[in-house]
Amino acid sequence: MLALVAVLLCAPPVGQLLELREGTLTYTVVHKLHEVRGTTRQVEGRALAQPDGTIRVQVRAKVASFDSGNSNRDEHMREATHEPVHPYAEVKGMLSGVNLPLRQMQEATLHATVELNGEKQTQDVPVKLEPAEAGVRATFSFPFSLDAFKVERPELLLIKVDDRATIAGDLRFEAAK
Amino acid sequence: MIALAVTLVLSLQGEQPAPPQPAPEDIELLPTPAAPDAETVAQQQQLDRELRTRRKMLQLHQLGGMLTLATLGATVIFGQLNYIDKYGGGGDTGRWYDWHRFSAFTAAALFAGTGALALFAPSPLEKRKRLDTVMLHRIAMGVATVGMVTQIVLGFVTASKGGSISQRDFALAHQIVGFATFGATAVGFGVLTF
Repeated sequence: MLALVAVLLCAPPVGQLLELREGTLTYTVVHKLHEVRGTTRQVEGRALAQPDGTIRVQVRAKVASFDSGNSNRDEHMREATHEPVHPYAEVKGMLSGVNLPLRQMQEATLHATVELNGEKQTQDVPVKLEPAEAGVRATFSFPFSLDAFKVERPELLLIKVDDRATIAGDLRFEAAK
Repeated sequence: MIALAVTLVLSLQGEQPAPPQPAPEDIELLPTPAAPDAETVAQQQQLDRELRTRRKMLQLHQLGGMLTLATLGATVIFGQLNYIDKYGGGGDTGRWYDWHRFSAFTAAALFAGTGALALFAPSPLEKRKRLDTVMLHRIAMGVATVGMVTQIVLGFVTASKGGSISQRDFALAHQIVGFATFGATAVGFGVLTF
């Protein structure tokens, strides 16, 4: 009986684990002369949905995997974010008020910690959740400050890219097998 | 007995304060990447140092590129004025000759220095080879380099033909190659802004 009680007390929190099946992450930086978008499809992620409606999320991508269509700009981005030392960009956070399975589109706020260039910043990220084939599709976009992440902004013609950059994502999660 | 156990569990849970929610940064749902060993860390730091050096050199390359384009533009203008002065009814006063010569030497030196900054910058990261603005820049600057070398040779040859009838033909060739070289340099510069 005591063993039963102990097992019940020590049991891990009940929840549904979701795996990221596919998706893209895109960064956008703006220079006076042009806009640069880099996208990666090599995204890893998991989400743990709990019965109380909170969902813990972790998503990350290798900085080197972002492709802007311009090899030099990709290289500059890796230089500026010190990719050899900090190879991942990551978002961790928690959503609340989301009960799975979703019946309809829902908007929620991810209270997140974003990590880039070895620096962490907390950020509230608005997320749109939609039911998707056997899972959930999450789309989001949020601005951030390159200076806040101590990213030495690349420059062209002595003009630096804007401090304000954007990260957008389109991710599909399914129940882990 | 089971009811007792359940009651006990529920009562124990009820008495305990709600467990504190972990901060978002404490959540680890994905496997943590393996920590690099000392050798890998040293390699990463070396790579990072090389990238910093590369960045500084390429920033200077940009500055050199702007100065090169400006001096090359001046060289073309002075060269055209010199051509008109000599062959276009300007009286062959020679007043633009030194302007053209000095701007040409300056442009050639800046061109070589700027090119060297790009050529000798460390390039430790593997890059995809494809037709993008950087590739177009390299192609255009390759054409411009051939033009610069040709211009230096043609410039000296043209100058050495003073008094000869063929000097005008060499000067015309020098003029045409000069405009082409400036055009290739301008394209190489401009393509990076897209």
